[in-house]
Amino acid sequence: MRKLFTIITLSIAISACTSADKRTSDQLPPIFPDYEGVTVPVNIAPLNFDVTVPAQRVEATISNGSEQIAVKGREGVRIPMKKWHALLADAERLTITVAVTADDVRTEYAPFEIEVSRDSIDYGICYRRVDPGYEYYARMGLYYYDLSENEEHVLVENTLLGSSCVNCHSFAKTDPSTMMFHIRGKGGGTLLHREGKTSLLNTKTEATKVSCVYPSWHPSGRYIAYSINDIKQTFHNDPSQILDVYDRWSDVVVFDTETGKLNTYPILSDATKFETFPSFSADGRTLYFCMADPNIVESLPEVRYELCSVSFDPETGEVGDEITTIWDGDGASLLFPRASYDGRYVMVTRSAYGTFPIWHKDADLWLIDLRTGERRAIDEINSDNTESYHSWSLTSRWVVFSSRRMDGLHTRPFIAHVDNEGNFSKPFLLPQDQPREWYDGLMQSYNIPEFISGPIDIVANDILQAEQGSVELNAR
Amino acid sequence: MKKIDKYARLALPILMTVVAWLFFGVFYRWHLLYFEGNHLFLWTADYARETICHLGGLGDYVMRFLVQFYHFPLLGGAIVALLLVALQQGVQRVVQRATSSNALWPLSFVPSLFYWALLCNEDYTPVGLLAMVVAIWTVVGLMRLNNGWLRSIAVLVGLIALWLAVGGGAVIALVAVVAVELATKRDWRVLVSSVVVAAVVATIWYLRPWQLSDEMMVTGGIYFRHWDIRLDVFYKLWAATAAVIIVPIVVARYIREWINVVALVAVVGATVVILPKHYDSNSEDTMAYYCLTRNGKWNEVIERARKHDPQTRPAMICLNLSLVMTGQSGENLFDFPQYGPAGLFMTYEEDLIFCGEVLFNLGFINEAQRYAYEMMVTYSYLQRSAFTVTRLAETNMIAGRNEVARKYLNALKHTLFYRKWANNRLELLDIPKAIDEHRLYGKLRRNQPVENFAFFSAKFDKMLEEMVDQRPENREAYDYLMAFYLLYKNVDAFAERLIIPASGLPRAYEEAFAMVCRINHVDTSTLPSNLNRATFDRLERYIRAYNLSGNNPNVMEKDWGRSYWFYTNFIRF
Repeated sequence: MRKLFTIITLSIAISACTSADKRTSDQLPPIFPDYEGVTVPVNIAPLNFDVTVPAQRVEATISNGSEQIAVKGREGVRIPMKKWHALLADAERLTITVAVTADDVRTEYAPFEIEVSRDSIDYGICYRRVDPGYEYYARMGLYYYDLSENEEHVLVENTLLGSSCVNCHSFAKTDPSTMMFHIRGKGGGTLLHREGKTSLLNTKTEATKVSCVYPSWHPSGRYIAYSINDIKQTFHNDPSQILDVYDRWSDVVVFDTETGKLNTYPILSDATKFETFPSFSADGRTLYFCMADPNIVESLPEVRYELCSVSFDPETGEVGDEITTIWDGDGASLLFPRASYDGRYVMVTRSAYGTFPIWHKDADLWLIDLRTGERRAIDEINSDNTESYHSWSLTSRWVVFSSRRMDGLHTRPFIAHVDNEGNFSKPFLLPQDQPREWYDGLMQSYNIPEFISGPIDIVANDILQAEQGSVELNAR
Repeated sequence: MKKIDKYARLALPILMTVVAWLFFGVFYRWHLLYFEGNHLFLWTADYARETICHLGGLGDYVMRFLVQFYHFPLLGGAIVALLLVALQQGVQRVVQRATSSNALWPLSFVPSLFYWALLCNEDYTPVGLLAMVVAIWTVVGLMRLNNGWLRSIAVLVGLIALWLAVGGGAVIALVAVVAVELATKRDWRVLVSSVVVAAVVATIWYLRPWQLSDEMMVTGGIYFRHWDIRLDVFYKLWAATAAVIIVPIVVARYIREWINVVALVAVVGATVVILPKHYDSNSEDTMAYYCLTRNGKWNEVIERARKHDPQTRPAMICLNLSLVMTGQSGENLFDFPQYGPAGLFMTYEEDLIFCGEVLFNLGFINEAQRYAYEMMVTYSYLQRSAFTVTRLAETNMIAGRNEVARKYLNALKHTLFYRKWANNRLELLDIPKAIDEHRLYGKLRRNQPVENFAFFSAKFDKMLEEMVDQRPENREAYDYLMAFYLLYKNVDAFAERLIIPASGLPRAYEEAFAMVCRINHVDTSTLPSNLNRATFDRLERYIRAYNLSGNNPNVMEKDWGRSYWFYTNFIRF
């Protein structure tokens, strides 16, 4: 009898205790990164997340409607790779339920959904990680990230090159075997990796005065259009601004990787204009670029670039003799034109003025429909803070773009889906194994996120032992 | 002779420990504080991973952990002293083991004394010292293994692991292992292992699994804080260490006690001669000025300058800033030897550290942030620093970029000695208006420019004019500008900007103003009554003395050296 009494008393006590320690909330779970309502590709790596409130335990159930996986952790959840990919393989959407235990109270939050797109995303993205600094720099490097495995690989770090700066990585239609990046500093040049060979080119000529800067590969992999810029910085004292980067002059040139000739064109080297940010169209027959009137350069806030194009003949490397203004920006400056590989859109960054929008809080992404000529701010992915560099996936169904929305200074890559009608999904932050620890601790920015269709097969010795050469000027 | 040798062997390491401790903990304490301020050890997995995952990374990690205790110079001095004596004892034991004698034992001090001299220059980090200590004690451990197979395997695995852990300093372990083996057991298996170690290292070097240049591969760990590593110094150091191990082994049988005593006298003599030459009193003094200025201890800066004139331009800048911050520049600017406007500011290309303090305290918050950022990436190129991360947190708080400030403060929460500081600031971020009401940050926020203008460090006086025009209530900027005018001898601009308060003018300002009045033949009776007429009389006396002295500064200095008039007449820049 006494035993029975003890058992009943304990049962009541335990059940009372348990029920008192459970709560449900109609709020969405306080997680980082924000995955609520995003669209992800079917081959994306696990979307691990952390909670942003103090927690003893975090539990999550991820269901695709027919199967589910349950994961738990202390401050967040780390989803097993195989189970995740198996779950995504058959999913149209995922429903995620999160419960957080804190102060011995378990709170189950309202479930949220993630759309799973059957449009696969490319193998990964390549970017530079660098301090969002001023003139000097410390450690920096070019890295590529496997989007299906959440794994970062080193392409090159400047510790290999005795403090040089590495920048402006670029790929021919996302092809990692046809790529380039610049090495600035002692013994530097443009590292060109093509057809299994790696060479280091000096792209500075007497006529062009400076080395090539902002690149764009022709889809054939033969040509690289570059701008050549005399770049300066100015530093603001107004606390709402920090600095500006501007050009004192700039032109556009085209390098022929087969002949080693750097083609210059009078129409793209107009001394009365600034031409910059070249970008080839999907068919390689049009060269987009941005152009400004230098007469007003004395007042930087008055400098506005418009989006222009000129025809390009891939057989001869010749450009047309007429420049077309696609959009004058309607009182703002248009930068970084990037044509989708399906030939339908051009995406640009639009900012109040100037040529370097990463320091402009107002900078947003805009989409131009090349079939209809319509243009619009991509409100689905823009934020109150800076949106800047962007690139298209090979399928033109995904874009990756850099944004300062998280803290206003450190640029982070976000990925968004584009549907048939040109609508963008809510973007998601580049997934990580330990997202909160990584992004909170990282004092570097992600720079120039570019899609790549496979891993990059360059090792340190390829860079150190690259065959040295120089370009030959070819004034057209 | 035997007794001298025996007692010296016991006493000298203890003496070296105590002297090194006092040297670094007391006489080089500002160096240690400065060095610590330029490091930032974080208790996070990412930091550990990032630091350790390269050649010599474990050595970097351990040393950075230890460097944070330089925060207390006596503790930092003890760490350095113990490492130095550990190196000496390790070398002595290796030689002792190899020769079964104490042949030339005083030479075992040479590597430690060499590193002691290196550490007098803040460009050299103690990581290389730690590497050598670990290397030599690894050899001591290996020598204890009597089984040939076991020793050869331990050599193979141990030395490769050692190289991966501490980098280039491990080379002395390889040299010592071979030397000792040849002198003692001559086991072919150990010698083969040593050759394999060298071959494995060469192969790994060739394959280069890390993104390190050839120069960086030599040390692996951060033995030197610049990109351009002074490799020749390390080659000499390692060669000297190898020599003090090999030479006694080779000549052991010829060594008598008296030779040890002679070697002892030579080492002690060389120490007494060489070490003081490496003691950089100017740099120690300058770092003292910086650390005091960085912490806003203005009166201590001025006190220091009163005891001993600042010897360097950065120290002079700290002093002049302190005079301005305490409101004493108008009165006491010429109590100290001024050498021109160079004592107020340097260009961006010349200095980021000291002028960063000037910019911050005068309200140029954006520029102070830029300088801190640039200092962070140039001083210690592979890591953050406490000085700069705390400053970046402050500048972002003042400028209203709270999320960025929070990022820095959250990083500082993972430190041992800046956690409390960070938590206090994080609380400020969470309370509306707390920054506005903060004694320092509130004032600096209000002192910032209202309208944008581009900053040029080479025209700092113009920047100050702009600031004073926009923020007339920024008293510190005003006084700094006036100091600029005075030191430039631009008395017209000074007079144009001069505001005469009801309480009258401070001495230096009044002397300058009296000079302006005399040059312009102003009738002193028409001047405001709150001006001290005695200053005008003093000026007349100065002119008479000047004429009598025959333009001789030595004659004039005794009575007039602290006057602005003396400065204008005799100081050239």
